[in-house]
Parts: sequence; C-alpha cells; structure tokens
Amino acid sequence: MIAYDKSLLEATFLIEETQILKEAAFITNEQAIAHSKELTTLKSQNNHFIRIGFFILGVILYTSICGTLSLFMMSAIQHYYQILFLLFGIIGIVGAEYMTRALHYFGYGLDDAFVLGAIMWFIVAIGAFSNGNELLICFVLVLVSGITYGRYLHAYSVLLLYIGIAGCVFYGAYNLGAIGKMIIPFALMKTAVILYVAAKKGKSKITLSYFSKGIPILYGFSLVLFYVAGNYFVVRELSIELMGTIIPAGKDIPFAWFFYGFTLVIPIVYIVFSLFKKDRIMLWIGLLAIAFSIFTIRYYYHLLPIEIALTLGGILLFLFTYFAIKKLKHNTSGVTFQPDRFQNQSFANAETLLVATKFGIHPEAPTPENKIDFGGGGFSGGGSSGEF
Amino acid sequence: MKQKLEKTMQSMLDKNLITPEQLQELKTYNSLNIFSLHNELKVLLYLSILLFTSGIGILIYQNIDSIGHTVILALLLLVTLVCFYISFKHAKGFQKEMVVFDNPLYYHLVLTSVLLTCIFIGYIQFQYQLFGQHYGLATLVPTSIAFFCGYYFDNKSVLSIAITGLAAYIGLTIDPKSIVTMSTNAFTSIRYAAIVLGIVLLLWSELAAKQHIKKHFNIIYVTFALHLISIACITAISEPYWYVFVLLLAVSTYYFYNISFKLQATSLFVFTLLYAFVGCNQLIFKGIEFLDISQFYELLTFLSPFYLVGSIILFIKLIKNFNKKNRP
Repeated sequence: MIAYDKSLLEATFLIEETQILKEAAFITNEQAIAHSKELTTLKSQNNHFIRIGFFILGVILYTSICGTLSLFMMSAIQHYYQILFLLFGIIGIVGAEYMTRALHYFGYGLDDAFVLGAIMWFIVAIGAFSNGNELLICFVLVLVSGITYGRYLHAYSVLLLYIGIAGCVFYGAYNLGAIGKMIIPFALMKTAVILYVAAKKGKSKITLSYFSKGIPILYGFSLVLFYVAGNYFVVRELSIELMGTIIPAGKDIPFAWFFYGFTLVIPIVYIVFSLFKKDRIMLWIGLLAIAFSIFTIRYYYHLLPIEIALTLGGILLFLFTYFAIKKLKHNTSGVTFQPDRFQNQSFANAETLLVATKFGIHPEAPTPENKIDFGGGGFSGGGSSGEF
Repeated sequence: MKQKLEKTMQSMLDKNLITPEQLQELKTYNSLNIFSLHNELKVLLYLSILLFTSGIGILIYQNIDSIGHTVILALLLLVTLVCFYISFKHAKGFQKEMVVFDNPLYYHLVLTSVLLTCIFIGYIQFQYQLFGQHYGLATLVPTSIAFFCGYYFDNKSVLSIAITGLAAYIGLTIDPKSIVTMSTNAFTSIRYAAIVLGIVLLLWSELAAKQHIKKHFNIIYVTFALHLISIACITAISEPYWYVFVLLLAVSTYYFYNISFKLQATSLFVFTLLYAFVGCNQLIFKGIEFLDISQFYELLTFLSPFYLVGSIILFIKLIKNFNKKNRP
C-alpha cells in the first residue's frame, strides 16, 4: 500500500527523531551527524516556508499542465467536460506517483500540490457527474483521501478523511427526513466519540508504525467535531440555514438547555482534563473552544458593552496569567512554566511580526477621514500616534 | 513519542555513538513528565494586553466628552509612568549583547509602556496640537522613544514598532499586514523614499554587525529592508524607467541572497527567491510584449510547464545549496 521504499521511510523517521534529540540538546551536533551520515532518506522539507513555496510552485505547475491539456482536448470532448476533470485527477495521481517513487519526495511541497490537487479534481469530477450529490461526494472524499493517506502518508489526508466521514454522517442523517434532521448534532457527537475511541485504541497499537502521525490529527479533530456539533450557535444557525426552521421570538430550538450547557461545560472539561492528562492538543482546542463559547453567548445575550467586556476580560486574563506564571515558575516536574526541551521556541519571532501588524505606527496623513478615524486609532493602540 | 526517542537513543548507544549517561539524561528528563505551559501562558499574556488596550481605547473614545481630556491624559500618563518605572527597576541596563529579563512578564510590560506612550502622544497632539503643524515631529518622538526602549530593554517587538514609526515619518505604511496584502498604491508616489529607507536600514545593520551592537536585531532590519526594496522595485514595472528598478532588484537580490546565508535565515532566503522569481517573470512578460509574440499564445501555454519545471529544478538546487551551507 505505501508508495515509499520501507527502508528509506524508516531512515527518514529515524533522522527526524535524531533531529528532535539534537534540538533538545540531548545529543551533540557531531553525534547527530555521525548517526545520520550513512543513512539515505526520502527528501522531505522540514522548513515550512520552503515547503509552502514549493507547494505554490507545484500548484502553478499542475495548473499549467492541466491548462495545456484542456487547450488541446477542449475541442475533442465538448459535451463531456466531466471527463476532463477526471483526467486532471489522474494527472495528479501520476505526478504524485512519479514524485514519490522516482524522486523520493515525502512532504516536499511539490508532491503535496499534486496529491491535494488529485483529491480536489476527483471530488469535482464526482460532483459534476452526479449533479452535486453531497452524500456521494463525501463518500468519494473518504475513499480517495483514505487511499492517498495509505499510500503517501500525508497528514492532511487524514484531515480530509475526517471531513469526509463527518460529511457522510451529516448528509446521511439529513436525507433521512424530519427526525433525521433533528438528530444530526447527536449523530455527529456519536461519530466524534467513536473516532476518538478508535484513535485512542489505535495509538497504543501502532505507535511505531508509519501511520502514527495521523493519530493525533484524528484525535484532535474528534475533539473539535464533538464540541462544534453541540455548540448552541452552530446548532441554531445551521438549523435555520439548512432546514429552514423558523424560530419565533420568545421560543428556542429544541433541547436548547442541553446545547447551552454543552457550550459552557465542554471547554472547561477539555482544559481541566488536558492538564491532568498532560495533553497539549486538547488544551489548545479547549482554549479555542472557550473563545468560541464566549462569542456564542455574546452573540445572543449582550451581557456587557463591548468596551467594558474587553477591558475587564483583559484585566482578568492578565491577573490569571500572572498568578499562573508565578505559581508554575519554579516547578521542575509536571505542569510548569519552564520551557520544555522538546518544544521549539520559534514562537517568539512570530510575536514580533504580530506586534508590528497590530500596533505599527502608521503615516500621518492629515485628511478628513483620518480625523474621524481617531477612535480606530486608539483602538489599535499605537495607531493613534499617526492619525491626527 | 517518548518511547520512540528512547528507542532511537538506545540504538545510537548500541552503535557506540553516544555515552550511556546521555541516554540516562533523556530517561531522567522523560520521567519528570514535564508539561510546559510556557508558550500557552505567553499567548494569553499577549491576548490580555491586546484586550485591555483595545477596551481602554474604545472606553476613552466613547467617554471623551464626559470625563474630560485632562483627566484621561493624566490617567494615561500615570499608568505609562508606572509601567516604565517597573520596567526600569527590573531592567539590567544597556548591553551590546542580548539581554533577557528574568521574568518574561517584563518584556511585555515594556511593550505595554511603549504602546501607552504612543497613545498618549497621539492623544495630546490630537487634542492640544502639542507639536502644532509639525506632524512629522509627532511621529518622530514616539519613534525615538521606541528605538530607545527597544535597545535599552532589548525588545524586538518594540524595535519593530520603532521601524514602522520611522517609515511612517516618510509617509509609508509598512506593517507586515500591508506588505502581505500588497497595498502597492502606497508605493507609487514614495517609491524612492522606501528604497532609501531600506538602504539606510541595511547600512545600519552592517554597521551594527561590525560594532557588535545587538547583532540579533539585524534580522529584523534586514527583513524590513528586503520587503521595502523588493516591493518598491517590483511595483515599478509600469514606470517609464522600469529597467533601473530591474537592475536595482537584481543587485538587491544578490545582496539579500548572500546575507540570508550569513544570518542563516530561511525566511529571508525564501522571500528573496520569491521576489527574484516575480521580477524575472515580469521581465519575461515585458520581453513577450516587446517582441510582440503574444499571438502565439498556444505555443506559450504549451511551453509554460517546461519553464516551470526548469525553475523548480533551479529552486531545488538553490535550496539544497542553502541547506548544505547551514546544516553541516
């Protein structure tokens, strides 16, 4: 099933681990070099910048090949244009096969473009053949991304696989009629639980195999799907949008109390649980879920004016973080503020860019619009200094 | 993951590449079961500052009539001074090398102080015209304060604010967001200013490298200079003297290509290549226009995949070269 040479793939993973050990300073640079010297590996691109650059180049290459092809084929197959989409998908697979088997690319950027492109064109082709049958599209997505993951081991294939499964459940229940529509949130939650349990079980079984990198994604997205499926905002807006439910004033969606409780409780459960289990993925998803829950509540109930909410929230968050840092600063084991040796600290540079985006000083331009904009200037902090 | 790493190390030990103590070190470290909230808490800290300053900004704006300007200004000044006081108390003073606060909290406090200073000066200028019609001065004062704080407290975030302030003085918006969204119309009129600023930043970074003054700041200067000069040149393609800018882009590409090796900065390297590629394509389009062979568009479409494959091979070669030099 796997397209790569097994020994090359194994060596690639070994080098990756050596690199991690080197960056965490458990082994010296010389030792890492000595270890990786005699190994030949697949060509992967660890730097995300370069990988994205090659991805863009790959997309341009792919589209230009497709463009050239359609230029010559267009006159031949005027009425069955769907075949062209299928052909594009096949080109993507051929390209991906060539890159993985002959050039030994594994996550280099170029191969990503062809694999993703192939998946996309197959979906488009199915959509065109079936006049947009959603259930069929999701089913094909599951099929195609499952096969590409089994063959090329790219993590994003798992993500697409997951979206496909969720889509199958969603549209499957949707097509069942009125009762089916009612149970969509619960069906999705159940799917999330099943996949979560499957990921947990799979984790203990295939720790050392090539598929171990897909597990955290499966697991993380189960958490996301579980929360989103029961979020009050999502449930309410989707039931209005997709099912044409009209909710009269003073009334609420069925099981509203359940969804409210769910929206409030789940993020906290995630965070508390993640701290006990030392689970970073769950912690991040919990933090994002809290933010989304606050948004959900504020969307329906304007408890506080925005400026007071922002100021108070800022102060409370600051105090919380301050005390948390103070408390965790000297812990040498377990939950701590001290940096982990295995975690990279490249975050600091991203901060710098973020600050410059958010607070950069803008040129002074004494135009009338800018005068009115003064509030906006104060809003973005340093921006005000430039706008008079 | 932990078991995997221990296994890898065990295999290295079997090959006699490492000492048993090193494996023991890893095992001891793993047994500590560290769950570091370092990055998470830092993000929350940033978020709290962001929320607080935004909230205060709106609050002031809405209540400007009822509270009165003097009160607000006095309050702002008070908070700013308190922030600065605490920052100075914990600072280790100016040194030519990299200095880090014992507690990262103070890094953010410095940032808050500078932001509040910017708000304060902006406010006072808006309300009382402290600098009168000298708008440039009103930009330069916070900029110089930011430069001072950036160097004194060794704060990269504040330094980048200072650089945007410097650009604002010559009438540019160069925060990264506008660079990404390519708000190029800002460049049409002040292209020369942008290029000159870029060159000045580069000169300063060269000087700082020679004198060993905060060498770790250089990457910020070079990054700003790269984007300023390259975008200014690329957007100049429709100008009458476009070939001057093409030449300049070629020279600057050569310079940035070398400096990215020196600083070992992949982001610089990739963007240098990207800008060079865009410039090259523009040149080709100019050539097609000049030779007037656009009616053979079918041939051109047919040739384009080959051109792309060629450029991809070139890119792969360049990046291999870059990795070889930086990772032995």
